[in-house]
Amino acid sequence: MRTPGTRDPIDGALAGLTPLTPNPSHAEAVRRRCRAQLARRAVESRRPEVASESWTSVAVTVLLGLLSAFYATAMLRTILRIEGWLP
Amino acid sequence: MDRDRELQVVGGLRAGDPSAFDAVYESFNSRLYNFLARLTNRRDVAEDLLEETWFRLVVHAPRLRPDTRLAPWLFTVARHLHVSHCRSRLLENTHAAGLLGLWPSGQPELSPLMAAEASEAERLVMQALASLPLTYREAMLLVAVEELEPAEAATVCRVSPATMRQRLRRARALLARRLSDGSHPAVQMLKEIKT
Repeated sequence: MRTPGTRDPIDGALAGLTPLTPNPSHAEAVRRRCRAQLARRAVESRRPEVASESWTSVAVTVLLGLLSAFYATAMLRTILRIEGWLP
Repeated sequence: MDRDRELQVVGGLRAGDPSAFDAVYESFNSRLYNFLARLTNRRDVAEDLLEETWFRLVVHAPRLRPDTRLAPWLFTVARHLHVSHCRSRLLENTHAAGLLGLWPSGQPELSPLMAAEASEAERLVMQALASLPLTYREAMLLVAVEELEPAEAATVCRVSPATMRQRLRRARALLARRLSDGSHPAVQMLKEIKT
């Protein structure tokens, strides 16, 4: 960090500018909104969303597996019936 | 904000602690506003960009690295938003005035409100600052006003430290020339006021 004594005069002149202040009511509204959003995001991230997502994917896989097995069995039975191996 | 406190606050932000947000907001809101207001020369635009900067922090808070340095992070976002704003304004302006060959060059003039608030010496400094090319102005604002290290300012502006040093050197030279042009050099006036 530079010390004030070693400062370039131009830098000193810029650092000496009167600070501008944002509109206080707007600033407070932004702060409140951001605070609320941060808290909401924290709560959402703690929900067991990942677990429910993995359960959904497992259920879809099982369903697709059952349908495939049913289709394969039906096809096999049809072939066997055509070949005369089944009544 | 010292480094230990900063690490603690970053941890709080990652965990979604609103009091950590308050601490960051308290430390950086005015600094970011000053940076954006002097970069854009417009208070309304500065407030919009400032608001967006804070929303970006909230959205990215859980993904912040534990060792994040907040000042460079926030000034990088603010600067990026300003660049995007300039690009969108450029598109708007080129649609309207593209055939005339007008290339919008930012707002070198101070807004009347900002000019009215400043003293004569300050007004000269502000005008000289506002007349700098944008790359020089942001370099000076980050290093001279916000007291970021030149290396941090280089990170914010996405340039090498050597490029940043060169920009600072040229910006200081340009400012010095513009400030000493008039019959009442503002640097001298400021020195007299301060002593």
